[in-house]
Amino acid sequence: MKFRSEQAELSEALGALARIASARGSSAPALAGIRFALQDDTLTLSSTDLDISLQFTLSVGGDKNGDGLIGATLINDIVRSLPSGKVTLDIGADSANITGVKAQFSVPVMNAVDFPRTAPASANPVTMQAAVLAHALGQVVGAASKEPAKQHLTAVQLSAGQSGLCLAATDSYRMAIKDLPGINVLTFGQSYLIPSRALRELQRLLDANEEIAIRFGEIETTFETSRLQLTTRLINANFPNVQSFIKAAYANKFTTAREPLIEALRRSRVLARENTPVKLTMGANGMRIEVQTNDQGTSTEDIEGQMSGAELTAGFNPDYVREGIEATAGDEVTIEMNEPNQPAVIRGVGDPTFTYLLMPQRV
Amino acid sequence: MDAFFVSVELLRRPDLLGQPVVVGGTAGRGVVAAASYEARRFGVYSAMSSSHARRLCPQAIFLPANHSLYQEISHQLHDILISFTPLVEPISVDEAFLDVTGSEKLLGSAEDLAWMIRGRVKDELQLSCSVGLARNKFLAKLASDFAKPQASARGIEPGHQVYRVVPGAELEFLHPLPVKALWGVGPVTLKKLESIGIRTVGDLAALQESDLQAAVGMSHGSHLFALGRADDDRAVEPDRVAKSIGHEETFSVDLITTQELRDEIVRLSEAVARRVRRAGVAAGTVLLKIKFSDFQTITRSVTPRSPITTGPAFVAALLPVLATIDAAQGVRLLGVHAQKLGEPNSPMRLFGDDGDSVEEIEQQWSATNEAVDEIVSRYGRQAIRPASALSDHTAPGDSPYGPDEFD
Repeated sequence: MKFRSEQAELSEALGALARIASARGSSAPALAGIRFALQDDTLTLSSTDLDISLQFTLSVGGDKNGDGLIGATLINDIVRSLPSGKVTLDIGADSANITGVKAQFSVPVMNAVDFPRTAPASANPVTMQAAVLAHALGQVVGAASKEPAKQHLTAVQLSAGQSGLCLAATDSYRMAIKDLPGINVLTFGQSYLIPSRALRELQRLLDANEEIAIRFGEIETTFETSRLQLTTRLINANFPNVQSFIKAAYANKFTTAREPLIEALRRSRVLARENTPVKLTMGANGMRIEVQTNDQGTSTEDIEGQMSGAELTAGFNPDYVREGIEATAGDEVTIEMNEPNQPAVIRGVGDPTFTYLLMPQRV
Repeated sequence: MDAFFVSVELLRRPDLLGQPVVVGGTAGRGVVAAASYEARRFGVYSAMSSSHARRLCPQAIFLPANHSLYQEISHQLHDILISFTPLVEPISVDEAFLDVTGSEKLLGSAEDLAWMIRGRVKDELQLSCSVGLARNKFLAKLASDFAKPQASARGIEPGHQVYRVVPGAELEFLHPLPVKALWGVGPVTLKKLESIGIRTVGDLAALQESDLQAAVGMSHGSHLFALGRADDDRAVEPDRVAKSIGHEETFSVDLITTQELRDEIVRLSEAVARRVRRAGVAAGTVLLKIKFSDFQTITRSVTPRSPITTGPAFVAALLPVLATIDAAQGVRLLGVHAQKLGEPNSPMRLFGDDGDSVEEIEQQWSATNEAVDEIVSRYGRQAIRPASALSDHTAPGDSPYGPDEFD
């Protein structure tokens, strides 16, 4: 097979495919490859680690139909390193030649016999705006656990809420919840646990101005746009009852500008190492942000804000609290709490659709 | 403190006053934790194996160590010291540095203070101590050793009780001392130094820094060079955080089953965790030390996701390690150490995640431990302890067999 493509377009696809392909070791060598298949001017690129399968469809200048498998890391590194401009791939039986502006590579081709053929979930598709899904994922995916041992918490839950689609993720220290009222892709009572790794990848790849089709299957779910198709195995486990964590009202509420708070929390992180909490004192005179370490010194910063309720001091993991604030939309944020040892609730002012719950740390 | 462990025991056994008394090493094997000056006349010293001590001084009376009592008295001692200056840096269960620069105006000269401290320790604890005064920590420590009673084959010299290294006369005090009196001169360094003809600190001070570095290594050489000139600018640090907290125990009979090891780990973990909590810190890493019957020693460390402070969390962290240990050949010594000590601020969770992770156990036990600590502080250590530790007649840290470490 032989085709011409643009370096930038090809590189973006290969980067995502390589992240999926190289994730699992050497149990099956073919899984470390990216499959190239050319039919006229349509190039289909695919990789899989058996849990997640990713497929790109690119328009290229086709020369000779055919297919071949190339090591994912290798082809990704090569194409990424090439200058922008035209790239030609000529994949033969034994070797593949990659020719970019000025440079040429020749690399071995892998045995494609063991490369699994995956079919998308067969369920009927539902559609929504890709931009809406991407924004919602950006707000919640970060709260999912990254520990493989807690598999059910590595998922993002997509469920049908009272008014529409609800996305939720938690690593048990914090929980991010996003409501998308009016998006009725699921019917009431339906709920799916989708690996956050797949959604993180999906979020990166979605284009703003397109529709995404979702096929919710029994064991797999597929996300499809005009140029990509991502199929992921679902996680079968119990997820915490999200709504039970949110109280209708909180006694104390602090409101402040979002950007200055994020900047102050970033600064405090200089001293606050992994397990050092940042101490937030919220009162009528604003918020004091303090870090005290055993041996690396202390930091203090005051920012402005309004308090309703009583003055309150609570400690937080510096990253978790900053990520929560960053996930809100709008120029102002509120932090609501009942007690210093009960969860804090972070929301953007004027945006009732996103809620970030965060457990404090003892200080 | 002068012969601290022994002096404490003699308060309870006044009938043994004036006799050679050894604390520790009462079981079949083990080591001497402390020796009375009468026993030291025969050459018995702490850290010596008890069998050796028995040979040197067959008439010595061996008493089991009672570390919880020593700890308690150590706290009382600290309370006395802190009333003279807030700048108290404890360096062991019975030694501390005090910076009295600021107290002199209020309470009198440093020498007066030293005698006042000695008097209060005598009155309130019925124990005697020796005080060294000098312009830095290094010299003060040497001065306190100099002030102590000295035991030799000829008899027991009472000692100066308070000894002051007069400012300006530091080198006159320091240079005649044997070189092994310096911190950092252990048997290996001592041998190296003796091989180049160094016997006293004065000999050492006469060397060039480069010669010293050539003999004992770069950093060690410059360290000793500074000490030889009485240079030590470290401040008295009242909040000095211990680098590690641990307990080790040599057993009178080798442990051979995993269950036995597990029970002992539970016991040691409970004791270490309690000290970790009392120090107001949390363990970033837990280390298990095992010495087999053939003296082969292994250490394994575990770093939980977040720092821990509870015995059950220590145990949960160490159990996977224990599973890899074959105890069949016999385990002679076990040690549990808390390391990478930091702030005790393990994160709280929104909900449990029905696993039995170390963290989760830590969280579950945090509240319980507050109650346990309260009970212990009111009724003593014997009042409450893990059920698996009940099979043993000793409480953690009260082993008669060998030294527990006090960091």
